[in-house]
Amino acid sequence: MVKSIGAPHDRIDGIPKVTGGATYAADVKLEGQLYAIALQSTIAAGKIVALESASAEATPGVVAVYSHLNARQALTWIHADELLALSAEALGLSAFPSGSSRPRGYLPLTSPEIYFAGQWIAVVVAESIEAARHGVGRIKVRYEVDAASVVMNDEKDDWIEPTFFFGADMQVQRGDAPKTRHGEVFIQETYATPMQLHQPMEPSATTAYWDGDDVTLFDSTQGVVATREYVAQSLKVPKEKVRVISAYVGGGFGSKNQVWPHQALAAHMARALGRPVRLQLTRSDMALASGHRSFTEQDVRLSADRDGKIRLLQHISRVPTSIQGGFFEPCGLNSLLLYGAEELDVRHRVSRKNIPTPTPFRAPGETPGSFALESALDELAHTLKMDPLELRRRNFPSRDSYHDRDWSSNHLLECYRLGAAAFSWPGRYVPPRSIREGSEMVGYGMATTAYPAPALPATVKLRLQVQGRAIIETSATDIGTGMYTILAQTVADELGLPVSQLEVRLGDSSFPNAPTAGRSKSTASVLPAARQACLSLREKLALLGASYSPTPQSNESIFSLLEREAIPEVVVEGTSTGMPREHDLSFYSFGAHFVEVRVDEEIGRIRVSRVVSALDCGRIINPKTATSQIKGGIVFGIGMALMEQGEFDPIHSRLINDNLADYHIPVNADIGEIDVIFIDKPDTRFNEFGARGLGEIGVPGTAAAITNALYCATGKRIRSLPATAAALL
Amino acid sequence: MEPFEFVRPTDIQDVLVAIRRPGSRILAGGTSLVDLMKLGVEAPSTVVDINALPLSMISVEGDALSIGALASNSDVAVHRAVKQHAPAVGQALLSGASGQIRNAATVGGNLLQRTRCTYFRSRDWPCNKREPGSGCAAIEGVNVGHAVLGISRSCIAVHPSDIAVALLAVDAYVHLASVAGERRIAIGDFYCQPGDTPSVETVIGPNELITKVEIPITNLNATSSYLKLRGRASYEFASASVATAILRDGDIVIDAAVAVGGLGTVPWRNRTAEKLLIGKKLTQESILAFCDALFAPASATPSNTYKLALARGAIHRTLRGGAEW
Repeated sequence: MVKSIGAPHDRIDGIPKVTGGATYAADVKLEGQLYAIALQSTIAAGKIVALESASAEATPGVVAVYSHLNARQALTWIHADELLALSAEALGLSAFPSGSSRPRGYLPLTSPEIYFAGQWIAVVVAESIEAARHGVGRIKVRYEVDAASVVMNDEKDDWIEPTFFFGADMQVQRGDAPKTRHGEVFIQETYATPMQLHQPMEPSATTAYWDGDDVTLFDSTQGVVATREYVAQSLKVPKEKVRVISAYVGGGFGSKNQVWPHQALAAHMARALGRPVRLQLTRSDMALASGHRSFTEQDVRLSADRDGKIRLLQHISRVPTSIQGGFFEPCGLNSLLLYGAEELDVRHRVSRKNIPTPTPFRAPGETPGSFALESALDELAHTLKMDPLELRRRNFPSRDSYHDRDWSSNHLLECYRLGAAAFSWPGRYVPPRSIREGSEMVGYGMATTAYPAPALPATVKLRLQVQGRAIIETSATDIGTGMYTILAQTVADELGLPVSQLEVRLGDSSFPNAPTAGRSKSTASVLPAARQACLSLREKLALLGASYSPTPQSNESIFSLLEREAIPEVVVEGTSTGMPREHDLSFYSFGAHFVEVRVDEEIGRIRVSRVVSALDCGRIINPKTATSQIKGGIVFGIGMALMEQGEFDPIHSRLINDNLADYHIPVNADIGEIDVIFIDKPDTRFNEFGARGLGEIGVPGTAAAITNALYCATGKRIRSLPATAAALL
Repeated sequence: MEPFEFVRPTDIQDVLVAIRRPGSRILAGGTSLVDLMKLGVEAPSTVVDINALPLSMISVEGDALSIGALASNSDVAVHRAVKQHAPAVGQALLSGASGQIRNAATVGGNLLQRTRCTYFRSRDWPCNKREPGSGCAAIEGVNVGHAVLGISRSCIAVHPSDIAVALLAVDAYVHLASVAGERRIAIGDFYCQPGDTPSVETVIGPNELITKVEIPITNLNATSSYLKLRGRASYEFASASVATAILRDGDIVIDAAVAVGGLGTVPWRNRTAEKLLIGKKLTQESILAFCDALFAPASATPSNTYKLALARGAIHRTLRGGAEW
């Protein structure tokens, strides 16, 4: 039988998704279901002094209106530390020095305080979504307005120095940095990245219904287990009473990685009203109520020898978090690991602003951080009149000097070589403004990308039934990544079955536990568990006296074996161990992006005409879904480089482009040719498949490769994204 | 959305009677009206659906091209007579919105499309256009996309339509009907700059219905083209756009029409400035002189001044021989 792993298998969930057969959280329609929509605060700081809901309550179809005035009694909706510890607000809080006044996180509808504009201040539940919207429009609110701040100010802000986050110290100094004056060439610049909004195709929604003491949530989440824990804690019910189903997720990218209040609120409202409730986030809510990538400001200083050897790398990030939350962008992560400068000074400073709590956004930290780092490297290359690729080769990190460990596997130099060859990279120094074709200036740019390869324990259940069914169950979610397909591929190979005969069931908290799909860890967490389940199955069959091992010679299917041995059903579980214990190694994926841009300066037209990315992500389980993942990451990078920007009204500190008409992301016509190359060398010290996750590594570096190419084309250095026509002209 | 009464007359006279009701709004493609109703910006008490009227014909009538008010953007964009006699109009339509929206949107509705100013589109902000006298949040707010021509202390909202810019370049007429009779207005006289009354956007009366658009068939109009510049390749309103038509005798310009979009509170054209091009060759200098005259009244903020550079570039490019996007 042909091996499934390594083959470009079509998504097994593709047909249901494109034919409407896949049911998403907001597609669920239960008998007697109610619909809920939230009202947002129009002020960014202050207090609600009056909230008048009588007219909303009298609106035809409206069933209930909840706010801080009644949610505690009517919904048992209570702000509690043990709940907040499980919430999106808490991520990052542990990095803040304790003592002083560590914030408590924020939970809507628990107090009249306003911390940011767009904060939910009431929720209307009605017989229809139209009636709910109608009711929302009739609530009258009076505020006491305080001064708000959504812009960082180096001198005025109260800066916090966080400690440990994302597996790294947020304040790292090595060697004589920052005092050192080693080196002969210096770069010192400030880079800025804007707020980016989470707007996956499927806006978050939760449909909750109660059956006696049991509550089921049809939800859109990257992690059904984490959601169950939070919702059970919020409802004060045993977690066995809560079931969270998220069989299909229309994109998450971090917006559904943490647990947000709406997920529990739907269950509280359904309990109070005795009817199923769907709480739907609008596009505007997606911008405000499920996190975002915050804006950043980063100072990067490099000093290098004339031959390009980097002696000092200083990377100081100034980033915001919300008034009550904890998440901030750990921009310096890649600077700790790449380029191996002997003097290292990587620090983070955080300031609290009247913004919604930021959250992971596809490759958090690395993405804004790599814009600054990879731009600075390009500036250094131009100062040295050196090929930017050669500069990176000369600073190749042969080991992880921050953690003082060897890499489990690092083929970055191969990424440089193969990517450059496929791109036809010039291989010499190209001065800016030196290539013109017709009315367009042409430029080339490149950047390195790197992303960690984590893994957590996971469990997969395998059920074989004699009538020919093979069912794979785990609570892992497929957020568009291809998990359905690669799980089937894995089991197909182990059991000698065609992929089409396997039934994969995901995203249900009643299935065995698997980690939340985030930080590129699902492949390395779940596939080893599936393999363990297959091994257990064989052991169990052997115990039953029915040995099975598929060989090219054996024609007998596992099902005829069951039939022959009169075994109606076999059920087994397999569990993976997460990170390998036997190796003291650093597990990372690497890659390089090469970009061609074309700029028609007379009419301000910027095009990313060509991208080649070469990546080392270990062994590739499915080249088709893997290529799709990387291309998606590159498209994210193009949006970040050229368009995306959450904008606040300067007077009212309120986000004004909280919709897809005003917040621009690339359309199909913006995307040129993208060529993805995988090195495809197994990282066998990581897991038996040699596979590392690759959901995020496409994003870091892409924006810098584009702005580096823009500099090559036009001679204009963009240090503040996005690189719009206005910025370039 | 507020509840409303919905009527769908099949006879034009019944429509003209129905729209006399206070608080009524005409529904054609609905791409603008329904959107604004969902946002709470529009709250009509009666919606008069005119889709049953026979107003979607596109035809040549004598020396004019006639486009019914209910002709869809998609149908007009690809119509042979439109491509032949007023190519800028087809190109402008194709540059706008998405395929799905163009299928629903109508030419009459497009002429009355409301501004995309964020502050207009949400009831949470002061806006003199939406709520006269409440103020303008855009002037001190985020105004990167706002107008630099025809602005006032009351309003800097930019006119969003692409087709209106093309129609202005080809000297189209708008036909209106009411129970009192019919009239025809040159598109150049159709839109009102905001002044102190930004809620008044056109000269159309409260009881009038657009029935058709008429484009003169001329040699000049047959040369017209439309170039739209924006931050992404499609599905975005113009940062700057230009509709040009130019007739030459050898190298010498004998007639010219240049209308710009994305810059004005109304589609913008200056016939006096166009005279600077007549009798001259199209050179860097003559185009520059024209642009200087055209944009002399412009007043930009630091964040939207780039629009003038883009528009100048677009005019240079189209007058010298076109660019496509």
